[in-house]
Amino acid sequence: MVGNKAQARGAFAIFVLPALGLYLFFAIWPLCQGFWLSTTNWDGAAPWTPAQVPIAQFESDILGKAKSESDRRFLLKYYVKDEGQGTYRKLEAYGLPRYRLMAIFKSVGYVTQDFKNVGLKNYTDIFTGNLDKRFFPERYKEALFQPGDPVSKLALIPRSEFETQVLSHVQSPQELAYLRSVYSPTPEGYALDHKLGSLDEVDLQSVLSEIPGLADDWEGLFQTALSSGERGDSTALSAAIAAVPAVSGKHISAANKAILDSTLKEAFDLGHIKGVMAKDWYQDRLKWGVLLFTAIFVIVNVACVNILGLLLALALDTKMKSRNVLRSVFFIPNVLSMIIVAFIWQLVFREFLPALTGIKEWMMNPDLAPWLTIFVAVWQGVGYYMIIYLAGLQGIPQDIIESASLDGATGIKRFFRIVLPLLVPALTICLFLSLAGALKTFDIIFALYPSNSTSMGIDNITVNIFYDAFRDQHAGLATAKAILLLFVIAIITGTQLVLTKRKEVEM
Amino acid sequence: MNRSLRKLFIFSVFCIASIGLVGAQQLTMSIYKQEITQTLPKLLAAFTAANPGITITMEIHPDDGGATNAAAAAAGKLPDLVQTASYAKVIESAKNGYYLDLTKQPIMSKVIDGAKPAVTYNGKLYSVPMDFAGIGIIYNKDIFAKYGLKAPTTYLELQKVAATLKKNGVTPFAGLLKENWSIGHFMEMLHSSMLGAKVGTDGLMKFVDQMNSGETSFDKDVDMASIFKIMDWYKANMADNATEMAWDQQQAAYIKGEAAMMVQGLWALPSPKDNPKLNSGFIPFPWSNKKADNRFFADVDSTIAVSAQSSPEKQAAALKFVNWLSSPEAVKIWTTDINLTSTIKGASVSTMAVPFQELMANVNKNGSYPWVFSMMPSATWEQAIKNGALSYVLGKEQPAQIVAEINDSWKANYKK
Repeated sequence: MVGNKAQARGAFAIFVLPALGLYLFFAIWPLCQGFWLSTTNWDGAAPWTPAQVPIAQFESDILGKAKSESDRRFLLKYYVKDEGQGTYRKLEAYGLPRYRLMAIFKSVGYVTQDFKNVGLKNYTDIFTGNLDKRFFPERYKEALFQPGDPVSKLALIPRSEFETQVLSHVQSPQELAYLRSVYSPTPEGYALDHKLGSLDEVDLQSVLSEIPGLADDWEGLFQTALSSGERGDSTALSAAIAAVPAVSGKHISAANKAILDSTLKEAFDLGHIKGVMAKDWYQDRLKWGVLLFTAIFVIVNVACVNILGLLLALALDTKMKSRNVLRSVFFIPNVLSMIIVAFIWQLVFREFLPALTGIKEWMMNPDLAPWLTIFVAVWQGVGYYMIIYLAGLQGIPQDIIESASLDGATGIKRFFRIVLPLLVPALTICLFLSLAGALKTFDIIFALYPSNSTSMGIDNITVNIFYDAFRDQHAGLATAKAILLLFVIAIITGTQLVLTKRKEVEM
Repeated sequence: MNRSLRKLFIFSVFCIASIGLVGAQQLTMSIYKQEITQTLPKLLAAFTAANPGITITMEIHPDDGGATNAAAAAAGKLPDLVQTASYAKVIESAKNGYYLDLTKQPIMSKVIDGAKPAVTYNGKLYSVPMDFAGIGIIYNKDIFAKYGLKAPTTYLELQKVAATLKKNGVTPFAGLLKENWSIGHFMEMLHSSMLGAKVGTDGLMKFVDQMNSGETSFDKDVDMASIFKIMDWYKANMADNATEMAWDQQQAAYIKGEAAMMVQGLWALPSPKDNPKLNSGFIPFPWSNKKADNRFFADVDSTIAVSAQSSPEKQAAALKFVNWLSSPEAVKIWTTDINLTSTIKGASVSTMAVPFQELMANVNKNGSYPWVFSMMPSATWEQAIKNGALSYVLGKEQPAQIVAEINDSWKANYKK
């Protein structure tokens, strides 16, 4: 507490005023500028006043309409005439001159197309869902077989997969009958007819390309047979075969014609099974999208770091001999830079785990990827919360615990009735930090998945904002998202603080 | 003033004065080509030796450096020198006033004319084209010889080569499916080649103009289904864990002889230091069964621009570096140490490794297909194509969606 009024004024001047000034400059001003940017259609790259303007346009529409002589002089200070280019070219202008230039351009009614005010359009786009569809959860069909995949992939399909992922998708009775004719159930699963399964596109093409008299026409015939097979259109195949004499223009011996016919028929059969399976073998999946992935990431991350952090703190609050070493060991991940963390785990997921488990795909398995990211984030963060919980535990007077034991309270009861209520201040801080941190997470996702997080579907809101601004050239929209994120974080953490503060127990 | 303070004062004045006298400049250079980060310092050191007082430090921004440089430029903090991809990346920055006009610089009269369109905006040249690169198949000649294989010139021959390799336990292609740019190049190479084979180079330029105005569609005149089929085949001829493999793993697989081929730019040719016995060749990816259609996908790759946001003194120093790049010493380091072709007139590939000579001989004889991906809006290339291609091989998106997104993105993001 400060002694007298003079000291209070002194403290205000020396400490509070500068702090307020810094806060204004580093927090309030950027927030205001951010909000202003979010009302524009800025693409993140275009300069805020034009880099060049055609000479005639600059002189008539800008210089000519300038409101004062000082405005005119200011413009000519930063725009130089380049006769060779036919434009007035802007010299570097950052800081305050940039804002004055913008004000002058606005006063003459000049609008920069890639940086103009669009009012609250970015916000209405966000709230009406007029965004890239990757932002929202979406059902999609994951194709389990593509037309260019080798037919060997179709050789044996486990029973349940065949029934749920193939047969249940078949629309027509003819197609169902066809599949049942070429696939037979075996103890291991549904097996493709051996002859069909051993057809090889390269062999078929080789045979066709070596038939004398066909020359280059073999490829067109092969593609026609394959594609008519994919469509199940046998009349197209017959037409193609019938057209061969005209197509080749040369005589093909009867023996070679027979080879040609049977090879084209095999190509048709190959195309048919591939076409049907490419159409029907899929799995209905849900793409989480940015919103759902962010929500799941936050909930799971916060739950895990807090529960695990508390459990570790409880374990290390005991009298075990190695507790000091262990405290350091568990805290070390938290002091590592994200690049090192990403490097370590990429090595583990790419080299060690495949060798240990035989499963080859870890990080690039779209089902596992979100969970691996959460796992690494928890691994990196848990030590920090463990320290806070440990400090909280050590602040609980031992005599309260001892008297509870004497009164007959068991370990679990002691924990929930005595320890946890007294730990609420630590819980308040940890929940607050972990919630805000999880909502703002950028570095762990960016370091683990540097160029492919969008394709993997693990962009969270901050990564999405970054890519929106600087890859997809929608910086105005990205800033609007960032402003909204700020309010979301404030509301969530504010609510959490109020709720947990109520539960704090005074000793 | 006491003695030690006086000494300190005099020493500081001396330092400041000497900086002014020598005209020392410390420049920063943004680099995106991760394959030259070990060798580029030699070039920078040679320049400093020839121009004492000007030092250049590298900042490495992989994956084409696009987003990072865009963010820096928007904040007025672009590095003094920027290595940037050609065409759209240069044009967009030139349009925004971020690069200096280099048209009248001495080096530009020494650059081959064919390389100039890649750095031209409004009739002016805004970056120095540095290397002419090709994307095709880098293949291990010894493995091929071991199994009696000849370099394939048609798609059927390529399929047969892959089948023979597989039968003998050799992975046909070293994969790189963890990053998005390589599979993006692959898909774009197929599209540009198929369309180029049909309509010629002039037709490709017209296609770009029509996509800019929204008059045409990405799948017009091209059988997109066949492109995706080739991508399926390509993935099926990599190792099982190809999606887990990034640049280092692809290089290792090829260098160790586990895989016989890589579809890559020639920038990916391993250094002899890694395996002196590696005997590589370079051929166009033969997507067609008509030999004449199979040309290299080649164009001006990297360029070096000077930031318009730097101080006049730094710009003067940066221009000294840029003009020095045409000196015989610089060209020699660029071609023999850094292992990239040079766009300087008269620069010879005879001192370069065999695959480079094969590239230039093939291009001079058969022509090449230009890099349309460099000419489209950056946002379309980065998201719709690169991420579209990767999403396809991961099973997360289907061809129709990808083509639709390319069309929408190109039209929305093209700016005159």
